[in-house]
Amino acid sequence: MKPQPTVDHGRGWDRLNWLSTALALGIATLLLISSETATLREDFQHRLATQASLVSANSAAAVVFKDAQSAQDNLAAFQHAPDILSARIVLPDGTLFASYQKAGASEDAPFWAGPLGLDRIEYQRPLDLEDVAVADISLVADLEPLRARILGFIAVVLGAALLALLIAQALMARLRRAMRRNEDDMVHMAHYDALTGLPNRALFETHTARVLAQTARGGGCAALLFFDLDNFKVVNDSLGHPVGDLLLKAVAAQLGQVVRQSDDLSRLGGDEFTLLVVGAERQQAIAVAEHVIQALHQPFPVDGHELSVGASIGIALFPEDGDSVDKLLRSADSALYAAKAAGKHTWRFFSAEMDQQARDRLALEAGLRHALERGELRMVYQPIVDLGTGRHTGFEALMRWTSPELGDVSPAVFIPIAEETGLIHAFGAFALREACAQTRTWLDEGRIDVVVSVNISARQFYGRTLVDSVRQTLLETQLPPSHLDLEITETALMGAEREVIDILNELHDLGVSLSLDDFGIGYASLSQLKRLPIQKLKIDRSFVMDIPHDHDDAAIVTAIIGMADALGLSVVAEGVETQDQQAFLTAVGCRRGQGYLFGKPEPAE
Amino acid sequence: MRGILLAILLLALAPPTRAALEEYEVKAAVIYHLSLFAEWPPGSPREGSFNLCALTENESMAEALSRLGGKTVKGVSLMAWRKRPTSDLSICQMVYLGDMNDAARGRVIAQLAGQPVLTIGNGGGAQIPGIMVSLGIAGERVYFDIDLPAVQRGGLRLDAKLLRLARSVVK
Repeated sequence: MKPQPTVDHGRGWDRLNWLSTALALGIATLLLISSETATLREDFQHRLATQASLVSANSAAAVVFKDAQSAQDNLAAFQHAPDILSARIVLPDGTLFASYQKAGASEDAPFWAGPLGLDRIEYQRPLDLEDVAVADISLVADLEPLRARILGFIAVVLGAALLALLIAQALMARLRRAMRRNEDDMVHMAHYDALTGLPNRALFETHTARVLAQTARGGGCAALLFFDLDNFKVVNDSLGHPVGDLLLKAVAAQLGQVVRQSDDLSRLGGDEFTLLVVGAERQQAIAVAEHVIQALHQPFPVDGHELSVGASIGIALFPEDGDSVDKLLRSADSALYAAKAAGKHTWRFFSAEMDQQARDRLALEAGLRHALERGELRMVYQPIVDLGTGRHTGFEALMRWTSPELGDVSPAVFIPIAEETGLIHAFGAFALREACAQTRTWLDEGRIDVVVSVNISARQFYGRTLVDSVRQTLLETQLPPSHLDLEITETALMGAEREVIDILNELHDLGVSLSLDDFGIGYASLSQLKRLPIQKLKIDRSFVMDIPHDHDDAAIVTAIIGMADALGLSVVAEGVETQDQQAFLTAVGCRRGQGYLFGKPEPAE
Repeated sequence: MRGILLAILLLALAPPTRAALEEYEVKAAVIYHLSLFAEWPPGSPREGSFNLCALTENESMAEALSRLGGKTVKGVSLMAWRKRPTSDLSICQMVYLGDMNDAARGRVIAQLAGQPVLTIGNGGGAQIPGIMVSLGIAGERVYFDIDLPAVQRGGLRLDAKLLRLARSVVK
C-alpha cells in the first residue's frame, strides 16, 4: 500500500460556478431584452404619434366645421398604415365624430403577447385648434412588427448568451484544470520531499498511523527501519550542501531500487530515512536491513567524487517496541543510536535498555555543554619515546572530562558527542591552548626538544578557522611552531580533498608538523599520502596489539613502516604495552612508540 | 291694461326661439373658426387685437358674434365690434355682412376693395358676388362657399383644409 494523500477537489463548486454564470447571463439577457422592448415600444409610439398628428391637422378643421365625412375620409388614410387597427375621433361631449376600422379580419395576437404588453398599443391625443381641444383622436395599433423585431432580437441575444456561456465554460474549465493541477502540486509538495520525491515526514506520520491501525486490527506485525548515512555530515560540511543534496538524491534512487514495492520508504529530513515493512518479524527485518546496508555501502559517484557513505539502521518492531508512530519512531531512533555506537554500517534492534541509554546520553549532552565553563575539562599527556633510547621525544595531549554528576567520562564517549553538537570547536581550541601553554612551560624548564601532539577533529576542518586558531594560539603562548604537532584522522581527509589539503598546507607553512592518526583502519590511500604535507604516521593500536605473534598484523606493520620510509615519513606506534612489541617494532625500523609500557596519560605535573 | 302691457313687455324681452338661437351660435362658431384658417398679410392685424366687425340688423346674430370677444385668433385677442355699413371699416380684419340690400352691400365691398379684410356674408344658399365667404345653412349644418379671386384680391390666403371643406369654391 503506497502512501496516498487525500485530495478533495470540491466538484460541487463547479456546478455552482456553472449555475452562477448561467444566471448572470440570463439576467443580462432579460435586461437587454426588456430594455430593447422598451426602446422599440417607444419608437413605435413615436411613429404612432406622427401618424396621428398627420391626420389631426386636417381633422381639426373637419371637426370645427362639423364635416364628419371629411374627417372620415381623413381617417381612411390609415388603410395605408397596416399596423393601425382602428382610429376614432371623439368630440368633447363623448360623441363619436368619425372612425376607421381596419378592413379584413385582423389576426389575434399570440397568447403570450398580452401579458407582456406586446399585443396592441393605444395612442390618444387631442385635436387642437388655437390651443383649444376640439376633439380627441385615438389610435389602436397592432404590435406585430414590434413582436417580430423583439423575437429576432431575443434569438440573437440568446444565441450570443449561449455562445458566451459556452466560451465562459471553456475558459472556466481551463482555469479549473490549472487550479486542480496547482492544488495537486501543492498537495504533492506538502506530502513529498522535493529533493528525493519520497514521502516526507508529514505523509510518513499520517500514512504510518493508518497502516499501523490496520495492522493492529488484523493482529499483524511490522518493522520500522530508521536509518541515516554514516558520513553524510562530513560530505555536507566539506563539499557543501549542493553536493550533499546530490548524494541524497543518489541514495534515494538507490534505495528505491532495492526496497520492495510494498515497503514504504520516506525521508524524514536531513539524511534520515525510514522504511516501514508491514508483516515483517525479526528475521525479515534483519534481511531487509542487511539489504539496505549492502546497497548503501557502495561508493556513489557524485559531482566527480566517489562518495562512500554507508548506513546505520535502527529497527523497532510493531507492536512490541511502540504502539504508535511516535513511540515506534523514538524506539527506532534509540536503536539507530545504538547501531552507530556499535561502529556504523550495522543495524540494531530496539531494546528496553536503550531507553535508559538514550536518557543517559541526554544527561551526558547536558553536562558536556557546561563542562568547559565549569572547568571540568583538563588535559593529560602521554609520553612518546624513542624506541631505541627510551628517551621522551614528546607528548600526546589528551582530553579528560570529570563530570560532577557522571564522574570520569571516556573521551570515546564524549568526543563524538562534542563533534555532533559542535562543542568540538571550543574543546579543540581549549586543548590547543592548554597543550601549547604547557609545552611553553616545559621549554622554560629546560626541556628544549619536547614536541606536543594535539588531536584535531575532522569537524574542526570545516569552518575555516583552524589555521587562524593555531596561529593565534602559538602567538599567545609564545610557543615556536616546531614544538607543535597536529594529529589528524583519516576521516578528515575524506571527501573534500582539495579544501583539506589547502588547510594542511597552510598549517604546514606555519611551521607545525602534521601526523596522520590511527593509520591503517581508515581509507587513506598511498596516492593521497604522497600529496599531503604529512610528516608522520601513527600506526593504530589495533595492529600493534597482537604483534609479534599475529603474522598478519606483523606483516601490516612491517609494510606500513617500509612504505613510510619510502615516502620519507616517520612512524609512531601506538599502544605499545610489552617489551616484545618494542623489540619487534625496533627490529622492523620503527623509531618511536607510545603506550602504557612507557607511561600512561598523566597530568603535566 | 297693466296685464296687456306686461304681456307686450314680456314678448319684447322674450329670447329668440331656441332653434333660432342655435343657428346664430353655430354661425358665429363657424365665423370664428374661419378666422383660424385664414392668413392675413404681414402687418395685419394691428394694435394687438383681432377685430371682427359685424354689420347686421339682427340682434341675435350680433349678440352671438359679440360673445366671440375674448377668444384668441393667431395669438391675439378677438374683439367684436358692431358697425354701421357707412362706418370706417379699415380697423377690421374680418367683416360680417348681414342681410342688407345690394346697394349697401356694394358700398361696403367697394370700401373694402383691395383691403386685407375677410368678408363673410350671409348668403342664404347662394354665393354672394364680391363676398369672400358666403354662409348658408342646411338643416343643422352650416356650409360655406368661397370666392377665391375675391380672397386673393384682398391679399388674404385661405388654408387648403378650409377649401376642401367648402361647399363650392369659385376659382
